[in-house]
Amino acid sequence: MRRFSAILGVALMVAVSCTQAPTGTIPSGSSAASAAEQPQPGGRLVLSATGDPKTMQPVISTDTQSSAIWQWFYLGLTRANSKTGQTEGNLAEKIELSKDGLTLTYTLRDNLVWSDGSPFTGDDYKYTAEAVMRSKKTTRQSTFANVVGAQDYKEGKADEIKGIQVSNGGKTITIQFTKVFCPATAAMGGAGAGGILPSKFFKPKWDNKSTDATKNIDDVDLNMNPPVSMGPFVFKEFKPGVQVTMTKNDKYFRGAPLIDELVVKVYADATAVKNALVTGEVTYAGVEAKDYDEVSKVDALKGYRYKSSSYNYIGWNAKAAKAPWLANKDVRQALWYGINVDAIMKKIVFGLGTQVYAHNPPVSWAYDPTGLTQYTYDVAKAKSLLEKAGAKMGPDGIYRWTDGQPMKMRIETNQGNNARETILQFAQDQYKQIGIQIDPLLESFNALLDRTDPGTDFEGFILGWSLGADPDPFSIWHSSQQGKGQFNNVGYVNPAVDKALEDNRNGPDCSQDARKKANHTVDLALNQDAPYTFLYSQDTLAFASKQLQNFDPNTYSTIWNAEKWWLKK
Amino acid sequence: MATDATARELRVRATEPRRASAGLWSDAVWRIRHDTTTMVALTILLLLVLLALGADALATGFFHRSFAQQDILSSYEKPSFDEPWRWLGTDELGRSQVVRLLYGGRVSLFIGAFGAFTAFVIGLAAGITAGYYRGPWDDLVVWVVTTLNSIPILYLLLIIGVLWRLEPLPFAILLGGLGWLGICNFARGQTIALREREYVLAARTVGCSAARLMARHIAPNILPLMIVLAMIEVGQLILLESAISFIGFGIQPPTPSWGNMLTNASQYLGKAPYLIYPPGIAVFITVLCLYLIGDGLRDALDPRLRGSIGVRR
Amino acid sequence: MGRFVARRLVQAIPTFFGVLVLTFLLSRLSPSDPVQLMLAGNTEVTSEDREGLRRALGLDQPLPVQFFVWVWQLAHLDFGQSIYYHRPALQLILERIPNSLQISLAALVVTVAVGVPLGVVAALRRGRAEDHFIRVFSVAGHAIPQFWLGLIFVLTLAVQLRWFPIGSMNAVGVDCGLCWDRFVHLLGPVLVISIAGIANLPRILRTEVLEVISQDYVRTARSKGLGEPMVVAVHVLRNALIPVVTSFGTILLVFFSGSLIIERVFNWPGLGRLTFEAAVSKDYPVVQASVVISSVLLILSYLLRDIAYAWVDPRIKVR
Repeated sequence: MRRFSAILGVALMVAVSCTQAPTGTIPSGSSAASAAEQPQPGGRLVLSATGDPKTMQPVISTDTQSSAIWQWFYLGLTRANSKTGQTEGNLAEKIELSKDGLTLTYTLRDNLVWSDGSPFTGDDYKYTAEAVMRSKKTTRQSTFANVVGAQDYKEGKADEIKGIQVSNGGKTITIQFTKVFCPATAAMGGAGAGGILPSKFFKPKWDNKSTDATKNIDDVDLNMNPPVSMGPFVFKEFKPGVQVTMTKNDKYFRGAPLIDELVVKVYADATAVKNALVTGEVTYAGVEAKDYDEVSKVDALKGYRYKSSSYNYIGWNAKAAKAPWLANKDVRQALWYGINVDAIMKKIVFGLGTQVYAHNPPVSWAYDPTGLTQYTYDVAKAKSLLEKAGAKMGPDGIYRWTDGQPMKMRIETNQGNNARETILQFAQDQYKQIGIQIDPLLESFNALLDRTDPGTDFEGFILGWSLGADPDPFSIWHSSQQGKGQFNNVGYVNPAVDKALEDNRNGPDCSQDARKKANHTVDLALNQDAPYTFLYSQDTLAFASKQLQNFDPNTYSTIWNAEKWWLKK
Repeated sequence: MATDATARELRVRATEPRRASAGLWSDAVWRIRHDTTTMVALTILLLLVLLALGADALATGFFHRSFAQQDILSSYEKPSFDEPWRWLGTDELGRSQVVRLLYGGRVSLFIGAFGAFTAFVIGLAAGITAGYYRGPWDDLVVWVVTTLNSIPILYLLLIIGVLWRLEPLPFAILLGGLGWLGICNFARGQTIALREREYVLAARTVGCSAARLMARHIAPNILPLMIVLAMIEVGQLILLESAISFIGFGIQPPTPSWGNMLTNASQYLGKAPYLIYPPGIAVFITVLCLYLIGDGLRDALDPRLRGSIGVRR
Repeated sequence: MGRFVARRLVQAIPTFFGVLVLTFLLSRLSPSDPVQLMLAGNTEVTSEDREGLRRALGLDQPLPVQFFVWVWQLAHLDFGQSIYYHRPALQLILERIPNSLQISLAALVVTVAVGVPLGVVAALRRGRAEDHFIRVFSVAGHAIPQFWLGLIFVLTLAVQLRWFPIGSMNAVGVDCGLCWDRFVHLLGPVLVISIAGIANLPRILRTEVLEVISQDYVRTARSKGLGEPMVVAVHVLRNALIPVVTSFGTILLVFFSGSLIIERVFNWPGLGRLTFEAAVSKDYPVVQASVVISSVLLILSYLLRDIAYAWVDPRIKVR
């Protein structure tokens, strides 16, 4: 699933501590003798977050603080293999795509039950999908763009999504598509939302079998009070501003967890999380690049570093009313040449990542750097490109655009992300040297997302994308995705790219080779058109207490084997 | 015999502390000159002000670095004696901390001074007129003062800071516009007491206009102590500015102020701990000197007032 | 005394009204459209939705009408719904107040408990060197930026030396109020907030004690044969308490102003931190409610201080 993400790694944090965490007195006995390593049940896991969750329900969840909570309760039919990203069964044990690519069939595992013992069936899946289509707060409706009957249901013309059928006593789910949908096997597993809701509990609050399109699940009280769980832990209580507490789910289908209790504790910012990590209050957390050195030196912690499926960028709004020059390709290329990304890699990311030049990050199977221009830092070239586009240098060292206006614009980013804040200041200085004046603005993450919704009132912004395993950049780069709440907020339009995106998404050739080629076409175009100044993909940097055993975080999932974790006392 | 006695008398008189008043100010100056603490504080403050005023000259002439000049390849460097601009180390963008400290001082001192000046003017005008005229105007002033006093000032600044991003000058005026309350109260109280004094009544019977009365008879009498309050106000405003800039709602980077230098520094506590001491110590010493001078001034002007006016907030 | 209290309460009403007017005006001055903010989470907003919400919020009415509607709602304790949390703003604030109150009450206790003995010790020492030291010391307490002190505290004593926890009200999993764990967690924020008061008290007390000790009635008591400690305790302290009570005003104001930053530095889930986060995420109902309620608390605490003042010094009542 695509999601916005503040790349702090706060989403998947797991830590272990027993009441007063010991500080540095962890016995460093060798773990070679596996016979002596009997998993000990019990104990408490302490994770961290930098804000309260806004909701604990996947349909309307748009931020990582929320998903970090509900991901423990609401699962999908499939999941991405944590290392390879390949789709594998989760709640479903069999996934079959028909030869013509228009029918997807899931077969659920036997004897699936929610934490209260009631059965999990395909009706839960269908309920969630319908909740997504009627919701006014969700950003996930594009997943069902090609499902039969989804649009009709959304408009209230039907009382169900005809394309989703549950049969065989709830054990089989069949989805019909209007056209071939290549990412189907990867994307449909979460019913659009990413996690499946318990329809039995939600139905009395919102009935999905109706044609009333004004009603939806958005304000139901259960959104903050998950009644049951399919995952390894069950929601217990939420103390606003303090923590979320969960207890183990004995009925988890992969086996009851060894850990008794899981707590997600709220901290003011990433520095506070780092302090908590270092003092043992929290056992597992992600750290920012600048803290990697310091935290590596802590004896009691073990470091994990792995590639992430994400990247950071500076976005340039081609529709900006106050900066008409952003619609010009030469100007955008100049902006890329004019910033020393190499210095950023060395001094802000500290070498803990890889520079990127297009959309698909290095960890993706669609990644192909051949033919991509690297835009090595070159002030003279940047200036000549600006002048080629028609800019004339003014007396104060700032270029004047063809309309006579000085080239002055704003770049905004969110507070709380150290790397982005530093890049913002750095960019301001760098662009001054190529004659462009930057007005930096820091704001809260929510305010940033609001302001950078497709429109004309913003110019530059620094953000990141956190991508799912299946490479489907349609919702970010297709020219049809420029509406409110959609993701093509830089106003990118390129018919060749549109076609490649459609081929990648709707085939009809869904083979990996064909899709890889389509993605490469997209990447080449993005690299030349430079709607973003692509920056870097930072590795995930995480540390966990040495007490935590069987912990195995990877690119696509940290918590995939949570039921096997245990705490060594 | 007469010369002997006179000489003895003169000797005795010379050793006695001057009692006979040669005027309020010369008395005060004498007392201050003999008060070591205040003199030391005054000297230090003067030095700081000179450094801050000379920030431009020093930056170009001595340090050869501007405060916004980035040098990212020299980031996170510990303080060293190699070159003057490295004396206090560098931050995450390689900017010279010592130069930023000077400029930050200029910004903070300016805001404190100008803000206090604004507060002084408003407070004096409102206080004297309220105390003199009484009646509805007085009621209005008292109402505004008590209302503003009842809202925690940081909350007000927070709300305003969320709505608008302010440059140093408007920000100083804003602080002044919120900080005049104590000055007003004091001026008003003094005016109420003074207006019943004989010389004021005398001036009234003679036909003095109200404005002239306030300006010529009342104001000069309360001015000295008001100046003490103003000095203390400068210190309080500097503390307030640094607090609100610290949480990000005051002066915005890259304009340095001691407060927003600390915002940055707090994120690098682990990586570059040396960043957090200079701005904090600078604020502390500046405010300490201001308070001590205010204290000393008050004691010098009228030792009986010790304890009745002073550092309130 | 009853009449005094009643009179002061009545005097507080116009002040409270002023607070309401100011809070209302500030929120209406915001360039953000409240309707836009409330619908921010929605991805599909029609103009009917907007108009409907505008009418429901009463935003199409003239300003004075809006103001009175709002005051009417407040009178019914309806402070609106938090945009971020989707819960009543009042509920959120009431949850947090006890947390903040703990710090300020503890600070009050610590200030008196540490400051008064220090003051007595200071009072019994005469001499120019002590004069200078106490003077500088008392002023220094007010000159230190509190948030900076808090940062240093966390950096050195908590992270580097591990003598104190880095913040929060309790350790994870511990859920007690009046216990050792809470005490340890309170120490940091309380010490930082009390420094100003603690530094100031010795000086105030010393001045008072010195002044009182030379009074006639003390000489009379001494000549009657009462021991010095008794003299000091009974006669001196009672008078010296007056400025101590005055300094309560300082502490309370410090509590309300400083709590915002201290709570962030020490990860304390209090009212100040809630207000800050609400302001940052433009959750205006919560910010408004927080300002109004904090002002009420502040007015009440000024009242309490005046009552304590009047009780200690009966002359005040007459004024």
